[in-house]
Amino acid sequence: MSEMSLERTAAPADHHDVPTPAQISNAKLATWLYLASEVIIFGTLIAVYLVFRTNYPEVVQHVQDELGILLVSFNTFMLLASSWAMVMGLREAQKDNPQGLVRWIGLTALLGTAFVALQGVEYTELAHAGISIDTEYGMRFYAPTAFHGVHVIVGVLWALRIIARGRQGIYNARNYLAVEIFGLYWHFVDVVWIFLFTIIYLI
Amino acid sequence: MADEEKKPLTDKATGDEVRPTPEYTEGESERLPEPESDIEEAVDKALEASEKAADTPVVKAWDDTVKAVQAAVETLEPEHDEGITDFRRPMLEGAAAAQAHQMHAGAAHDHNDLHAAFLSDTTTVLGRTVTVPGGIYTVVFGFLAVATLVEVLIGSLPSGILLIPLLLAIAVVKAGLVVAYYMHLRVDPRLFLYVLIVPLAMALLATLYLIAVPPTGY
Repeated sequence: MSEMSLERTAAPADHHDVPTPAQISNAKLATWLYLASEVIIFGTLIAVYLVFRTNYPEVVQHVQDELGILLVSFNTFMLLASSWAMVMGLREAQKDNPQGLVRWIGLTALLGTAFVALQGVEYTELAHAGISIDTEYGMRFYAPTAFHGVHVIVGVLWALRIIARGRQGIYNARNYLAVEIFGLYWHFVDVVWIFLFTIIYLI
Repeated sequence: MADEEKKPLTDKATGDEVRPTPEYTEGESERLPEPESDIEEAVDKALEASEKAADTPVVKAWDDTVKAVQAAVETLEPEHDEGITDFRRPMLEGAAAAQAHQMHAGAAHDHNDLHAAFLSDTTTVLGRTVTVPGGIYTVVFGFLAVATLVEVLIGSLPSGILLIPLLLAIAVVKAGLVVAYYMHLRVDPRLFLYVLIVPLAMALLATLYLIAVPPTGY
């Protein structure tokens, strides 16, 4: 702790972007509090789904047959890989390699985009199978998955901003807080999907 | 006293004679205005009584006890670091605790080193030393990928009552790995963990309640 403080305070004065330990703790705590509010929103969506799943299991089973598991499993794998790419990018920033950061976060954005695209393919298939948002099951399925999809889209846009700033050489071994904060958001969206995948597609 | 009153008072600095304030009559401050109502009279009497009571041994003993307790509490409280607000203290203490834990394990010695463990390509997995590009991050990704494959295989089995808890348990382990390693909760302040766990517990409780309640009346 003390060594970290010394390193931070000893940073050159012209690096106005280098955060202090207090700023790091505050920014991370603020992010966690924001994620706590997301827990409640996604908790509500998942609860509504589970209540329906418990009371009308026969309707849910039918939909799972329509979906098939292969497409969504591949999509899940891509989102997990995007989280891995995210931490690898952060790691490069911490190793003072801004180009490595840009490459890995670029992969994160690419995998996130592919995830949303495949979700679009899946939605199209479901629409053909007659599962629309105005059906009893449809609204309970689309609300959590689409809300999650919006989070992925926001995450991709956020990643593009990190890439743009990374290309300017802003992030390095002393200044990677913004990358870490984005990482917290991205991994949270990944964790939400881990539960959505299990609860909606597997159970 | 009597002699002093006869001499004119002089200012020590200038030596000038000090005259009394014209409107002030001797002993004015000692005289209390006559009580105008029964209430004021009662208040005066109560104040007098409390002044007398303050000198009794019982009240003095009470005062001494309170002072002793205050002194004891002050010795218990840790010293406040200058310039650190109470708001930041739990985080610093959390970091210090994580640090102490790691030092005990013979690993990193400061918070920087705790994060530095994520930068090494070599990591210990289930007692074995593994070296892969990306270190612990890649190892965790491997676990996540395998766990997902296992989940899909279990999910395709004919449904059984044990499958749901098993699938949920795998999901919880996967989420735990992401939170602990990718979101760094393993080394970051404990406070962040509490901020996550409390709303999670609330949401879980609410969900269980909603599932337990019949969809339409009894």
